[in-house]
Amino acid sequence: MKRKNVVLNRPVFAQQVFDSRSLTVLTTLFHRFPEAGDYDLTIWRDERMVHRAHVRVSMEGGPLQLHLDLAALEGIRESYLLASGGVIGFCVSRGIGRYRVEIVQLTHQEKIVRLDSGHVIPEGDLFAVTLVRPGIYRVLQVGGRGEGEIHVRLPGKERYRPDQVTRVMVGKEGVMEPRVVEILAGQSVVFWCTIPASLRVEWVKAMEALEPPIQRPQLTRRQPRQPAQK
Amino acid sequence: MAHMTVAVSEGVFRRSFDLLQRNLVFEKADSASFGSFTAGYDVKAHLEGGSVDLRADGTIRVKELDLRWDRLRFTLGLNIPELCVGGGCVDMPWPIPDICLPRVCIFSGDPDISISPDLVAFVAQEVSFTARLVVRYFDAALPLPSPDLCAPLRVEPPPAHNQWHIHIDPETIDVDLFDFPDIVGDLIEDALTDAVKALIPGGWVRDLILAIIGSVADLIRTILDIPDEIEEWLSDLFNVSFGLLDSIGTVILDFFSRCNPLYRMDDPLEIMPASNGLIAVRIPVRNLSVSVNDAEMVVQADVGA
Repeated sequence: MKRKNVVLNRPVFAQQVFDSRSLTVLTTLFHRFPEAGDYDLTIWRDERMVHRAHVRVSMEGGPLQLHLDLAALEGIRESYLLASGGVIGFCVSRGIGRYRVEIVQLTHQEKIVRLDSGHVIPEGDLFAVTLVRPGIYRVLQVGGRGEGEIHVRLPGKERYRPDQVTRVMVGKEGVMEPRVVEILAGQSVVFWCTIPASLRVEWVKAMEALEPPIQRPQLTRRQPRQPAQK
Repeated sequence: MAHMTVAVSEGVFRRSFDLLQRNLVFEKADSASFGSFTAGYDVKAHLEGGSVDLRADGTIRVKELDLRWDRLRFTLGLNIPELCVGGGCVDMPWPIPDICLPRVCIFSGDPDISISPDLVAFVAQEVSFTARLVVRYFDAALPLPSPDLCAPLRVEPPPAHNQWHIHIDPETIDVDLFDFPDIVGDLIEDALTDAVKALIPGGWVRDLILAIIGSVADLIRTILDIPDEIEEWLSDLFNVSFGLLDSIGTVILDFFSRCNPLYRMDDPLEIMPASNGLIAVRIPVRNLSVSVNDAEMVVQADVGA
């Protein structure tokens, strides 16, 4: 028996902390472009610019969704076409790089920063994490009061599909709805930010700790029944 | 009427055949790509046993020669398909379009595995054929054909002088199909399963990857596109895809019919050796013919000028 060319994508299994301010493997940031127009897209890796491109958002058509793999982008300037109202998903397929995305709208009068992922996800954008390591994850709305939990189990005997996505809404004051979600390893959770937010998802403990304690029967005292009066 | 007649009994004929067939060795190795997998073989076999029957219709029947495999190594290599996590879409309220997530793949290379079990212990085959005897004249003055296809099959080097050769010329050859037992299917599946598992680190990573695959057995069946049992698929591979049966038939045909005569006779034939300063006495042999009946082989020839 012989083997060759076995290259495991190790960050997929090693990553335990996911932060919308610092995009890594298994995270995806979706930015919406509700307004037609011209945008400047800049990608930074560890504070070094690795890609710059022009994004044209058109009322007259184009794809509604684009995926840009930040680990595969090169420095050459490119142009992307997107339909008005569409989204671009910024993901990282491999490696240990940390990325930041900046999108600036170019108008006649000024340049408006629409997204700087290093600070905050704007209202209406989405942040997705695909969680592979089983265990309990804490979700924090950095600088807010919101907190949530994700329980990640290994698949059992049930039919398993990694392409199942659970949606969590991040609302007023960072409150997450639902607050606790359960998924299987390799599946994803999408946080829909209805307020500007920065999200951090971190592995806390292994799943074994989640097993409920043995439930003992509850004892209650009961008054003996009084004999019926004649 | 012929000048010379020689008769060979069925027992002597059988012994001669036995001596010749012991020298037949079939050896071949090859591999082929079938898209998602590669398969190959490295085999070596010889003939043993069997029975020879001279028949009244002028043919000989060779029955149930055992095709003994000295080596029957089968190599199977699989390309493991991309295994990915994530993906899928989530519905969003209008006016936000549905969001589809990218997939992240676990193997960034193109991992492949291969196994090479030796299946000697699991295969038994027999060869039978019907043949006629033919006479060929070997002219030592003529060059050997190029390429000389007989070179790897020839038991003795070509003679330096002219000879009459009596060959067995098979007309029909029956080779048993490869028919691997169930245990071979289990053996291959186990070996592949071990190989796939060995690719993956242990612990929860392995559990997760195996969960994505479903089961290694399912993965293997998908890659190999096996509708039924592995052993049936393997038998079909050997019988049809590898073309080994044709190769075995061709080797048997060439070995007996073209490359190695059963009997040979010098021309001219020495009937008195040199002695007392006198040269040997040799007579030219002409019109050599051979026939068989149910009791013996008969060779007739004329003494020519």
